[in-house]
Amino acid sequence: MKRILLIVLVFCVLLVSPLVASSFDYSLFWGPAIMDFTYPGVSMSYGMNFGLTKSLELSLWGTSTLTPKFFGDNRVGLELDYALLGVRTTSTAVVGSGINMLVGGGIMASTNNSYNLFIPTDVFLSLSTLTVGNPILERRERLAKLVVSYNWFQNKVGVIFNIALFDYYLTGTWRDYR
Amino acid sequence: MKKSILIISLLLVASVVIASPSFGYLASGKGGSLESSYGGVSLGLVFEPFTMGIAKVETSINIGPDSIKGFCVNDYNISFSTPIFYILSPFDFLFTNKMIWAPQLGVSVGWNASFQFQYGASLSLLHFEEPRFRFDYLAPFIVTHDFKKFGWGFEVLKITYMF
Repeated sequence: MKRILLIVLVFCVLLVSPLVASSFDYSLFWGPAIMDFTYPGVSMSYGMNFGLTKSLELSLWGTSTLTPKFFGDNRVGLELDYALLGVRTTSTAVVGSGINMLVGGGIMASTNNSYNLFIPTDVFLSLSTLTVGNPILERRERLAKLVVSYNWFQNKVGVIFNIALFDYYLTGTWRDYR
Repeated sequence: MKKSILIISLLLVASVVIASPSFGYLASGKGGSLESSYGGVSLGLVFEPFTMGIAKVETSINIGPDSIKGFCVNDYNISFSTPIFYILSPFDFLFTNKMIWAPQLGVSVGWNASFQFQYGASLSLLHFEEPRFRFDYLAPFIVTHDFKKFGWGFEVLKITYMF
């Protein structure tokens, strides 16, 4: 299990390095999460976001339970999002619109499978109902993000809901276009 | 004469409290476990009688799924908290505005989903304040009802708005 986690981590680093170098912008994010509305505990989402174009972004995220078992259920997703209400960044010192909406989808890995291994288990669609802020402003909040997933091992539909996700942009901000 | 001085003194003390009271409301995502595990949304009211959030009083109710009872009121709490220190936040990247970083230490009393009396203690290291808003991130707490068995939990995110 540790070896698989190590391989996943190394793969993530190898995947992330060229993205950081070539993306429009790059952010780290976190926020509270609800893993299924009947789950008796709280969870947290965290991850990295890469602006690929002015309208597209790629997100590598994790969601983990905090209670009742600390990091008891972990899910990792690779997600591609499209900005529905205009460009997500102007790529200039001009701020542009601070309001947007994201729709996307991707693939998710977890241990929710018959082998109990950390392998791809779900495909999902997501909707970030409202985003406030943008990369130029250095911060962005994604509000009411809903992920609906389908686990092909368990033939089960799942939900992850984030009331708010907080993006902190490290590159692609107004400082880079001065 | 003595009575007048006493009344004036009391009024002066009361004026300090009344002149700076701050009322607010809060919403948070909170989950924990003791005999059962639960997670849900807490809604509550806040009263700050003094400046700098000293001796802050909060009352909140948590609603959400419980591992035994299903969807229910998970707990009702009254808590008292006070800052450990109160300084300008060095974490500039977190917020657009300048914030105060004031980690909080708190104790609470209340009832759990089974209407048992319970006691708790919390530590919010990531507590940030501006004039209107308070933010708490990932604040752990412990809870017990008999001081023999202890449960624990997290307040993942708490947002408080002060009038």
